[in-house]
Amino acid sequence: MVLPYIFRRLLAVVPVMLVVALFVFLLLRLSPGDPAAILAGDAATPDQLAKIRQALGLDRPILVQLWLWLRQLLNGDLGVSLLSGLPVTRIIAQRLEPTLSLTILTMLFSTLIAVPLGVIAAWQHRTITDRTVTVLSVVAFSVPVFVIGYVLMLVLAINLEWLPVQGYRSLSDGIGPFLRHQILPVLTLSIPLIALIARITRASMLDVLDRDYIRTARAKGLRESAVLSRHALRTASLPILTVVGNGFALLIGGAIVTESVFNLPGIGRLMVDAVLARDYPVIQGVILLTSALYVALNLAIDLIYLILDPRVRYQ
Amino acid sequence: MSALVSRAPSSWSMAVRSNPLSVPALILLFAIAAASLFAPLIAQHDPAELAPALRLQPASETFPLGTDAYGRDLLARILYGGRISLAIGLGAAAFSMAAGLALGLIAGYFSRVDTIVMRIMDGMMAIPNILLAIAIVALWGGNLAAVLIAITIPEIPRVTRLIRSVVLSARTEPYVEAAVALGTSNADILWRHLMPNTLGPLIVQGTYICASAILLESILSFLGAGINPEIPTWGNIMADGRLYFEIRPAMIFWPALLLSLTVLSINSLGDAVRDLLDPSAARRPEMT
Repeated sequence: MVLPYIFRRLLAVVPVMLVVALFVFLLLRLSPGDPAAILAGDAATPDQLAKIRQALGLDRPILVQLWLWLRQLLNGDLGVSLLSGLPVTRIIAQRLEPTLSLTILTMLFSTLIAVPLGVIAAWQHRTITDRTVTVLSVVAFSVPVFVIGYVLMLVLAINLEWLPVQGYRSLSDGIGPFLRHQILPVLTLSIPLIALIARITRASMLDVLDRDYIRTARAKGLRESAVLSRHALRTASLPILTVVGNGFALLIGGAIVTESVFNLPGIGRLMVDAVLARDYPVIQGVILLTSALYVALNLAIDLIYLILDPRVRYQ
Repeated sequence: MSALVSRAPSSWSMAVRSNPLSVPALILLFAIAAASLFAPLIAQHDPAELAPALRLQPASETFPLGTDAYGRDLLARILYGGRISLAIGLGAAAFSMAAGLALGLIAGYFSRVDTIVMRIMDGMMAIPNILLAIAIVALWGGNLAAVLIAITIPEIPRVTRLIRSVVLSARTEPYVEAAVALGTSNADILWRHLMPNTLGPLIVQGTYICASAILLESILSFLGAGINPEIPTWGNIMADGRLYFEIRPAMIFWPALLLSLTVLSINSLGDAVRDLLDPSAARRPEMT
């Protein structure tokens, strides 16, 4: 029962990634005007245009281009940067560490803050605590991430001088400097994520809390903390997981902005620099990589479902 | 006893009570929209009027919010900028609703195209919206149409999914089956019987898209991949303010405040409309 399900779920990844690859492929080819001219900019010489056409294979028939592009992708080859001439996979690999540390730390921190907040709000339903959490989560969702970043930077780094203003220190520079440089970016990116996770935790807990088995658990004299954590949150965690999976897009989008605000040399900065320089191979490489991460994360969450909720196996 | 026989509260007052922000939100939104619309009457300067001698002025009588790095009146730029930012919000909502409605109706009703349409939507949803949007602007240029398209496209899959799910549950209703049995044309069934079911959820989703489109515009401008920096939008004014952020935080503060209040108002109106259309949802607000 389980193995065919896993197999079908794995197979479903193929069309999704195929659509992403096709989309990225068509995005450039369907752009108004000559793609090579768009990428080269206004001051391009015919020689440069010819070079770009050749590098991207734009001088061949479109179906041949598509075939070559897909074959290249299957070999794990993302092409070379128009700017530096280096392989895109190597450029991305060099930029992975700052983005991974930012997103992973943000995910951990926001879950640690948001899940208890959501649980308390649901438990204290319709009280002032509940209303405060709800209103704050709507407010946090309405402020652009970069404004949050600048306000935190102004207060904590510039005025109080508690933290470094910008920049990145690698883990290899020591855990202390690394963490000191991570606090502001992680705090910034966490705020919309905390809002998202707290909101869904609250909604999901409210859904569970008036079920019969919760009443039974309370009636048999179980401590309230045990009812909340072991009985209610366990059931409520499934929808929370789904939203966290979908929230990955929010996390990546926010990471791009946060990296720009705090000058972190990650994937987000790479993407923005590539966009400003119209370095299309890098642009498509970053899009493909983040989409693959999104798909992989949601696949992992579906498989976690399988462990947490046995009913899924029979669907 | 009297509590038991008292009339049930109307769905209007229920919706307002569970969304206490909705009434001030509506008033605020009207005020912001009116201020942008009547910007020439409020602002004393043209938003493009350069005064190099008066750059980065603090707030004064002639410049109520001060001036930017080119000596342009910040108040005028913010008010005129509101026009573009609001237009992008409304435009992105309208276009993604229209496209999502058409695709969702087709996918939900014609099971043959369903798989194809939904696989395409799955693929589009896998691309983070900011990445997709800045890539489109990079290729198509920083004009209003390109930015609008860049913001609209990533929203279409979510609308399509929503409409499709409504159609899938509505098409098994007896009245729809009766219409099929009577030989009603597909177009009639889709438009007259299925489409009206989708309007409620569609409007609610539309308000959320409007809010997130305004946010996304500011993020695109901030990253330098938005509308041409000459044109005032809330995002562009804040992007200009980055360099002078330490000495003149007003250039980021005021547009940010207006933008956040607008987004907050639209979101809470969306919540109120959702509760009004489906009172049972008022108890358990869900994130979309």
